[in-house]
Amino acid sequence: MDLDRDKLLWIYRRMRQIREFENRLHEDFAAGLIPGFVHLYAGEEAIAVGVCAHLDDDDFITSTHRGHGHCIAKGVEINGMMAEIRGKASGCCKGKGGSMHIADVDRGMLGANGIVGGGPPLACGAGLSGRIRGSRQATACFFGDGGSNQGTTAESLNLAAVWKLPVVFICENNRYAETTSTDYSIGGPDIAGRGTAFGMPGIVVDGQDVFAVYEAAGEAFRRARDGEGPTLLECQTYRYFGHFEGDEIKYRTRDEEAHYRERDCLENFRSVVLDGELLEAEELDAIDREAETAIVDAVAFAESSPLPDPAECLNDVYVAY
Amino acid sequence: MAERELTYRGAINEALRLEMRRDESVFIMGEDIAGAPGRDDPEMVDAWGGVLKVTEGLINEFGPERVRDTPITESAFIGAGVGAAATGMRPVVELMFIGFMGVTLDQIINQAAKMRYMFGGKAKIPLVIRTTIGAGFRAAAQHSDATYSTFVHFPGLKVVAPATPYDAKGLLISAIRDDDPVIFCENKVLYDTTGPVPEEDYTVPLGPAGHPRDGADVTIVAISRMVSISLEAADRLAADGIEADVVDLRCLSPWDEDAIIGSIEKTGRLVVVDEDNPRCSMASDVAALAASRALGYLDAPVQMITAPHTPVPFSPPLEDYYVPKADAIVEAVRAIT
Amino acid sequence: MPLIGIIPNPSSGKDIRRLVVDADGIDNQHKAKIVRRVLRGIAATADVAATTVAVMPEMADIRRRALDGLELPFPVDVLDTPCHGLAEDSLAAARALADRGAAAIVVLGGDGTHRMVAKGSRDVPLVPISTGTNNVWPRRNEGTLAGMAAALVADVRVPLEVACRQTPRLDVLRDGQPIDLALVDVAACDIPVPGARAIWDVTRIHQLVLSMAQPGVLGLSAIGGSLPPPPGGDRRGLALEIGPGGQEVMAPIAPGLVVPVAIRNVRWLEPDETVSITFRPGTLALDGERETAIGSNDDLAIRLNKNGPTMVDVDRTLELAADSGEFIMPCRSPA
Repeated sequence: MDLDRDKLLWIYRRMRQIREFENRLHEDFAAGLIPGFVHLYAGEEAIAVGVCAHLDDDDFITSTHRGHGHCIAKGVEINGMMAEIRGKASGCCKGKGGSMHIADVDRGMLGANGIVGGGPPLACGAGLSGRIRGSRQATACFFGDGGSNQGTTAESLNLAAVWKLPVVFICENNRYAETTSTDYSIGGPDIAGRGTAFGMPGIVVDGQDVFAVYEAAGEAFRRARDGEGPTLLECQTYRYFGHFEGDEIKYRTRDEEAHYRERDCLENFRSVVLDGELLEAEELDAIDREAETAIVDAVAFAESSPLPDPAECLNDVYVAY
Repeated sequence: MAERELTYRGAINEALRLEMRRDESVFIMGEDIAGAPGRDDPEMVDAWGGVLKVTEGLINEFGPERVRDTPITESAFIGAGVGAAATGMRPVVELMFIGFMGVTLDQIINQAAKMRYMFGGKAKIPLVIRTTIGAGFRAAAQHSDATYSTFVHFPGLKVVAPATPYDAKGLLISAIRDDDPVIFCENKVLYDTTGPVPEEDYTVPLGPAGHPRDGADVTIVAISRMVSISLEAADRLAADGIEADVVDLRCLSPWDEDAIIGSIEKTGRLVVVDEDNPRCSMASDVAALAASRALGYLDAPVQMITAPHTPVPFSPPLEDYYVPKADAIVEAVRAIT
Repeated sequence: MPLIGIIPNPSSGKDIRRLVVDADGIDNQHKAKIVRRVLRGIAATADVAATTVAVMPEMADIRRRALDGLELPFPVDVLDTPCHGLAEDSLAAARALADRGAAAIVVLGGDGTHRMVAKGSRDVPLVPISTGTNNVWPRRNEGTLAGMAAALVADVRVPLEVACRQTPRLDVLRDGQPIDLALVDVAACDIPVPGARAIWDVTRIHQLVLSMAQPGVLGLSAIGGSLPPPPGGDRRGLALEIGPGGQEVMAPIAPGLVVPVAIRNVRWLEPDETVSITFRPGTLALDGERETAIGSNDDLAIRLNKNGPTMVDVDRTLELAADSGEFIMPCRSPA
């Protein structure tokens, strides 16, 4: 594995943007500024960024209800995202999707998805699409430990293996599906092992370590693009906030949360690149400031944007009807 | 246009063939649409050509990449159709029987139907799901439904149910070229019926109703196989001097409200004939349309001739009882004229 | 009252080498079955009235799965140690077992797991069961037999000095002070970060220090194992400079990966001999896993230490027990 300076800076910038974005939403939700359900990705940044670092605009991802991180990592504009989450006309989905359905098909982001297990079949289709065209496009399919138990996920793992589709399945195992821990919900004690069961390599990756994710995803996408078929990466991680904003988080201990915050992916990145003499602290500090400014700007953009005209409700159901 | 008789099955096969020739982004997939996938033995290729042989021969022209046999995994391959459609292809996916929609409904109603809207109009899903409907094969409750109304309920989907070989070809070509997801319902009892079908490609637009019979005394709105049964009833009524105006509701969503209203304006009487179960159905929807937009023209209560509110039974006399018949239509018309 | 520990590493056998070489995945259900067999082996062999078993807590809850429906004549406790899904969990469990005076620890893992256990187990005999990718240190012991051997050792029903043997280790020294250890190999490589940890590309390795150089094993130590022994001497520790300019050997360095390796220089090591890490910058890999950065000003060295962890030889233990009639029914039970 090799990482040039530009890639390292890109990785840190995207992770920091996601963290700032989510922390700001956490505050703004508590202040009553955000309608609806919001599921925050803070804590899991290393996964989205370590995976999307291998993708171009013409590659695809499918996402989950916890999709902001995937969107930012794939290059969706944060102003449009923030406006969307505020329900504004300038939102990337004109205020019709909200947090759970942010998408940017032109950048290969096939949508956050409110249905647990909704994405994997779509990912098979995106993979199939590139395959039939004979391109080297690849697809990343994000799902969670909850999604791992849906039949659609099992079916998609099988179909992708049968057709050797260029899809990388990334299970973000953050240990809780809503309130339900994986101790309770995972019958066989392995999610990675399900890959093997369906005929593809399944491995466990430290989802708090962006370098571990980057390296594993790099090999998985190489396999995908070379026609060697799909891979399942079980990235073990943790969400810092509740299932959704407003969740009192009565189902896990504060000690456990503190432990994961000690293994924060941004802090881990800093210590690795500084110990390894790969980047300077000042460069990282500058990115921190830049990310803070970008989020302040995104909020200002969202707040100054108009609400949609109510009649806009009627548009965009069909291309033509 | 060169025209010859073709079966409903052959018309659909021809539409697929022409569209796959015309557009490389069109591909088809489904369970056993060729058969014996993965076998090298040339004798085994196209072992089935589709469970009812609708896709027979296509694999020989287009190969297994574009005529793609799937495992029995409806959620995954219907969803893969949605994903492929969202990323630049025009998949035509076969759901063997409409009863199997229960296995895969999420991918149709939450993904295919809603993506464009949820994404603010920035996605298009040019997907066709071909499926079979209809009782008459002694195939019992899970392989015989005509539950297209389920899909009509969901905004974002288009639903089509051709009654003739001509419409089957023209509507399928339109459906494939359409940029929205279309559920294309083929009545399996009609597969062997024949009719004139031009050899060239042509389209029948999604929306307008067909108008196979003109009459001034009663409007009969019929769907799919019920069109021919309604025409049979109309012939018998004509012998008694009652002229039925038969509307073929070949497009269920979008649908042709004006054709229905216009006919009611002309006749003052409405009978709806639908092979689906009666509650929350196309029949009740047409009746509601008449009540809300044409009540002033109606001289008599709307009559709904539908299957009973039961699953489709197996035993021949039970199944025969289930399917609406010309007798019932004639009786209903006589009751209001 | 003998205490037998069990440390099943839920993460062993699941790393990136399933993608880059032909390693297979080791399922945790498989590990649960092994632990169940270990427990049955202990139950059939130990002085059950006096025995306690304690298992490391871990995220896959292998203990619960192993115990499912199993009635045992002794308690199977869960250690009160961290359960974070990290390698450090194994270290903490080993340390806790050593603190409680454990008589033996059954370990399920590969070289990496055994290394972490050895960092905390002090002189407690380890009964290794290989469930890793590279398994140089842990042998391919069967669970039932490993459980029986653990019980025989715990009850001191075999002569421990024959049943067990001390293995060497490699101390990692920074500024002359030990900071870490490896059981089998230390590699200095030019991969800039630990990342996915495993090493499978020998061209990235520049220095390699081995505590043992046996043929017939898989991993970086196989590079040493592919060399003839020193003239008139035993196979022992070895320091290699990797790179062109010397000889080339074929070595099985990972599952399915038998590659030529260029060796510039070979130096056989005596106990307590120290090798300076001169390659920099890069990372230091311990037992095949990239661990720490080698900074441009770091003074790092590796010392061969003959006082490594004690390994129970399962075959030898069972042979000794059979020789002394331990398995004649009714089973002899120590007073």
